[in-house]
Formats: sequence, C-alpha cells, structure tokens
Amino acid sequence: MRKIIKQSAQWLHASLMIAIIIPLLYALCATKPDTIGQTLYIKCLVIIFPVIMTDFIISRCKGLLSYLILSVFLLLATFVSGLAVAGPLRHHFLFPGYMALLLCETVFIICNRLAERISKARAAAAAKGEDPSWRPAHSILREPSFPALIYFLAVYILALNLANPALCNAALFSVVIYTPVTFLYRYICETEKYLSLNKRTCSLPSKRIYGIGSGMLAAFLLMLMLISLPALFTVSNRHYHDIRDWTADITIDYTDLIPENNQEDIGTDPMAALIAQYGVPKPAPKWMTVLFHMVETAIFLFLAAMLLKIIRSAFQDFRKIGDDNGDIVEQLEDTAEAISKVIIPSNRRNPSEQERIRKEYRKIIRRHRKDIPAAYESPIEIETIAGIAHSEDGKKLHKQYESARYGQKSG
Amino acid sequence: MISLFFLGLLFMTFLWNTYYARHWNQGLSVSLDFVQNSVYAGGQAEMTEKIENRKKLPLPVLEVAFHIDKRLSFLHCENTTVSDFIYKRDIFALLGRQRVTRKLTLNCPKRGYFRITSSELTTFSMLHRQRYSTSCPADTELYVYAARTDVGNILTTCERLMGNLQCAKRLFEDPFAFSSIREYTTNDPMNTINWKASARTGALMVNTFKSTLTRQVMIYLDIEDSGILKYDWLIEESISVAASLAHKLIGNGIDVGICVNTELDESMMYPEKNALYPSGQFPRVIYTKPACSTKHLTYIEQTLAKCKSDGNIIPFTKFFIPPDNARKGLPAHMESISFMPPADATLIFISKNVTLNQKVIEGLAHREKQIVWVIPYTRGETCDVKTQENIRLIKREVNI
Repeated sequence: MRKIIKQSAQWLHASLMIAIIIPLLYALCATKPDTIGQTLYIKCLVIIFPVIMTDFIISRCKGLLSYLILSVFLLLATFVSGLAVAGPLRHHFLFPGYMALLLCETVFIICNRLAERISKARAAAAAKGEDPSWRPAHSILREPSFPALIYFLAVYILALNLANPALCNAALFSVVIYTPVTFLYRYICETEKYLSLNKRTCSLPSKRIYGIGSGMLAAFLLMLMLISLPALFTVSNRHYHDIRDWTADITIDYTDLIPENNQEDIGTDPMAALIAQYGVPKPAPKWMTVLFHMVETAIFLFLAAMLLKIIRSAFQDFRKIGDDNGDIVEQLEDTAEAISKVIIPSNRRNPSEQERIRKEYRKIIRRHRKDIPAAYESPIEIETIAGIAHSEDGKKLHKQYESARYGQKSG
Repeated sequence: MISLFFLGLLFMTFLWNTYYARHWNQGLSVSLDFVQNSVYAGGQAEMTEKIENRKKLPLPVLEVAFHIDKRLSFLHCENTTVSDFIYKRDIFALLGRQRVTRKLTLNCPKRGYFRITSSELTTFSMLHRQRYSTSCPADTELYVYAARTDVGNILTTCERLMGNLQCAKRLFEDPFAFSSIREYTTNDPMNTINWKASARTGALMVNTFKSTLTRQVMIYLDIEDSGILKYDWLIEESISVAASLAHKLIGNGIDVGICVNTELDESMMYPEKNALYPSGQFPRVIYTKPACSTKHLTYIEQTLAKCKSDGNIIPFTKFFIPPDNARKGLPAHMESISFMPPADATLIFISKNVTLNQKVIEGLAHREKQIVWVIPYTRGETCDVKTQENIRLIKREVNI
C-alpha cells in the first residue's frame, strides 16, 4: 500500500510539474483569454499517461534497445491520446504547437527515466567501490518536495501578471493537489527512513506507527483543507495585470501572421456561434453564486466527515487489547467519566416491593424525626417518638413495614 | 487566492508543531519496574515498562531510553548499546488515553544491586524534522543474590561442633518447646502432669519438653583481593558460601550473624523500600549480630549482593582489637563497634588470604573455641595450610 502511494505521488508530481508548461507558454502568447485557454490545462494532464508508462517500461526493460523501441510506441500512443483529447483545439492554429510540445515533454520524460536508470546502475557500482567519483543524480520527476510549491507560485504570479485566469486556476489547482500529496509522500519516506534506522529494534510497532501517524497526518490535512477553503472562494477577487501593456506603445501587426483559414475556424467555435446568436451571456445572479458556494462547502464538509470517519475507524483498530509485538494495550478512562459510566445494578433499578416499603418508611420517619433512630429501637418505638404511631396511616405503614422487614418474603 | 492558501499552510503547520511541542509530554508517564525484588545469580528477572498517555493527543512515535548496569543483560538485546552501561531504547506508539505495557526479560549472571533512576523520553514532529525530549524519573531496584552453592560439608562440620555443645546442656528444658506425653514416674514434678491426658488414659501422664539451646553462628567473610592478580572467582565463591550457609543455618533455626571487611559505598546508600530500614539509610558497616528470622536473612543476602571487592576494604587484623584500645586504621564511625564474636557462637571464617589472616584466626581460636575456616582456592593450585587443631580447615576448590 505504501509503495503504491509513493509511486502515485511521484506520478502526480511529475504530471503536475510538466502539465502546466504548455498553458504557461500559451498564456505568454495569447493576448486575451478565450475558451481554448480555459480547457487547455485539462488537455495537458494527458501527460500523466507517458509518466506512468515510462516508469513501468524502465523498470521492466532489460536492454536499451527494448526501451527505445517501447519508447517509440509510447510516443505514438501519446500522439494519439493527445489527438483524442484535443477537441476544438484541433482546429486552432496553435494545435501543431500543442502536439509538438506534448511530444517534446514525452521525449523529456523518456530521457529523464533513462538517465535515472543509468544513475542507478552507477550507484550500484559506486556502492561496491568501483567508481569513487560518482555523485547521486537528482531527478526532478521523482520526488515531490515542498520547494516545488515555489514553482507553482511563480507560475501563478506570472499568470496574474499576464491576465490569464485559466492559468491562475491551473496553478492554484496544482498547489491544492500537490500539497497534500507531498505531505503524504514525505511522511511515508521519513517514517520508512526512521524504521529502517531502527530495523534491529525488537518489538518495533511499525504497524501502529504507520497507522497512528497516518491518522494524525490525515487530521492535519483535513484541517489544512478547511483552512484553504477561503483561497478557493476568493478566486473571483483576483486583481489581474498585464505586463505586456508596459510595452503598449509598440504595436505589432498580427494580421499577416494569422492565416486566413483561422478566421473561418473561429466561426466553428460553438460558443462563439451561440454568443453571436443570443448575445453576451448575463452574469449569474448573486443568490446563485452563494448557493453554488454553499453546495461546494456542503460537498467539501461531507467529504471531510467521511474522511474523519475513516480516520476514527482506523484508530479503532489500534485500541485493541493486544499488539502483534506482545505489548499489552489498554484504554484509560478519566475517573469522572468512569464513575458516570458505572452501570447501576439491576436490583437497584427495579426495587422489589419490600425494598420500596422500607425506603418509604425511612423517608416518612426522617420527615417526622430530626434525629436518626438508634439501632436498638424497635419500629413501634421509632414511630412513637416520631409521633405517627397512633394515626391511621401510621398504623397501616407499621403493619406493612413489619411484614416487609420481618415477614417470610423479606430480603 | 493562492496567498491565502500559503498563509493557511504556514499557519496550520506552525500551529500544529507548536501545539505538539507544548503538549506532547502532558499527561504522559513512564514507569519502569522490576517484577521481582530479588533473584539469584544465574537466574532471570522480569521488568515491565508501562507507558500511559492520559491525554487525547496521540503519540505516533515515543522512544523510551534508560540505562542499567552491564552485569545484567537483556534476553533480546537488539536495541541495546553496551559501553559503561547497557543503554536500552524502546519504541512505542500510543493513541490518546491509552496505556501500553511491555515485559522485558533480563539475564542475571552476576550478583549485585541494580537500580534504575531515570529514563529519557523522545518524540518527533509529524515529518520527523524536529525532535523533542524530556527526562522522567524512575525508582526501581533489583537485588541479584549470590548464587547458591553446596555447603553440605561445612554444615556437617558446624553441626558437629554445635552438637557437642548441645549435649552438654541437655539438662535445661524449654517449657515452651513441647516434646511429647509419657507416663508419670516418681522423678517427675507434679506440675508437669497433663490431667486431661491422664483422665483420657486412666493413668497419670506427664508432658515432656525439648531442651533448646539458642545456637549462634558468626560468619566472618573476607573479600580482600589486594594483589596485582585479581581472583574474582574466589571472592564470588566466598560470598556464595557465606550466603548459602546463612540460608541453611537460619532455615534450621540457628541464629546467624555476619561481618564483612568492607563498607558499602555511597552509591548503595539509598533509603530501602523494604521494611528492614524504613526510616533511615542502609547501614554502611556490614556487621550484624546473630539473629534468626526471614527479615534477617533478607538483610544478609541484600548486604552480600551489594558487596564490592574493589570498595573500601578493611583488614581483619584491625577488626579484633578490643574497643577500649586505640583502634587505628578503622574509620571513625567504626571505632565504637565491637566486632568480637559472641561468647557462645560458632565461628566460621571464609577467607582465601591465608597469609594475611592466619594469625588473626589463630588468635581468636583458644583452647575452648572451635573455629571453622573455609579456604577457597583455584583448581590446579595447591592449598597447603597448617594450623591449630581447634581450627577446622575446609578447603574448597573453585573452577575459574
């Protein structure tokens, strides 16, 4: 399970790092936001396919030739998948650029994996002392790390200054996904490192360490997500700038660059046709926006509650009496809680007739006598001193008490 | 906006780490206890580590480290470091309001007195970037008594000596030591008639009583090992013999006293947990008059467990100077104590230092006094000692 999580984190890391490059370049080139830019990032996430496939290929290929042959197939597969997800982008003048960049990214990933593999082989040789000059190579596609957040922050700031909301959203989305993935990855790596340092320790509760630590990490991430909600809700409050306006007095005629065919392509954009027919859509009413945010929050809280439930059930597993290592695990309860949880014995809950009569007798006597009757006093003496011996009720009570206290069925 | 996200991230991380750093050790207690108060050398002891987390905050990693004298060893020693002490580190993971108890088994090959006074607790932040530590006091002790050894031949010699005395004093009966009932003879006093037994049997019957004599044995143990070559095995054998003799003799109802020519050092001077010395400290001087009780035997065994041959050794020659004479060489607090044996006591000397102590022992042994001298020596060496007739020599061969 941990290996799967680590691998998935590495794939997500590589995909998020690379996927944002094409939208960034597009934002640099585009002068105004359009529908193409809004969906471009999602199309670029197709890079996850070569990221995953190259990881499998490099670990299974024995020779360079087989790896290269498979890489060629992978390039073809990436081309086809890029073509499949392109959609309206196919008719855009930047489509060849998109495909070219996608393939370049794939080639980069292939080369990076190959370099990693070579580095691993040299590391094995260096471990044997054969290559003293070897230094470990660091692959940017392997390990999620917190400094990579600065990369996304830089992209966000650039997008803000290029007046490109789509790229801003992409960068924000990347940060929101990347942060918990990195936390999870680093937690697993650090815990594995700690356990490997202590692998010779007897009775090491590695299962409990992972379980309890994961629960705490999940609780932390949950709180982090709750705190980051305002960041998601204030998306519309961004202040955009365009640094290209600083060079606004320099005009460049783009008409010669844009081929005539593209003018017809704009007409094939379904949204543009609708806009032409019905006019610019009105902005959504405020109540709808608020409702939308409320639904978002409700879904988020529901997911958080589910996650909390999973964390609690996971913790319940570690409240068992015994541990695999032979340790005895017990729950502690506070004294006040323990007392409040004391179960009243059943005979006190449902007192018998004799007990009820005796309790009533005691209550009546206490009501009429201030002092506590002595142990040697008989019931008639107690009642006489209390002053109820000669009344009708007192006589009745006396009779009932005598049968309850001294009768055959008395307890 | 992304700045809000980063601010939230920094704030959350700071808050989490600060809260954990301040509260991780609240409601946390660690107790280290030896299950048994004492074991014999060569046996095994158990200790429990009990960690309680009385707060809701879980502790995913908690290291408990303590050290113990390296004369003990843990059965599973994977996470122990041995240098001047044995340093042990155990790792636990606790949820909130939870107690974890772990049992450890120790091998006790050598006698001694072992104590654990503190433990260190360490935990880590979520990503193991920061480490937090604190110390926790502990107070548990273990006595490893000297190993039992066969002292049958010494006992036989002792009982032979004590038996001669007893026969000479059979006229004195102990009215509290009932022996049997027999028929009345004219020599019996009237007050010994058992009227109930007489009524039952129809004839006059009298009670008979045993003749008891409070027998006393005084053991003088010499653990001096002052030569360049050390003979630890002989010293250990001497201590084992003394402990075994005390155990057997007290078991037979004989009063036993002990005197060892050393003082307990400062590290042994703790208020004892047991009932022997509840108010004060364990006495430093190892000398006790003959007595016969379980408490006394425990004191002897505990004292012998604490003896160290490399401590402050006092030669026996200084012990047997009468108190009214100036006793130079003895520590000031020992000058008023008389180490002379009781008049009726059988003396047992256990000493390997023949040359040093022969004159002292011969000086104590006069015409009426019988002394047993146990001389441990190494197998393969010779032990040729000639002494007076009233000193019974028992040579004890010891393997290294």
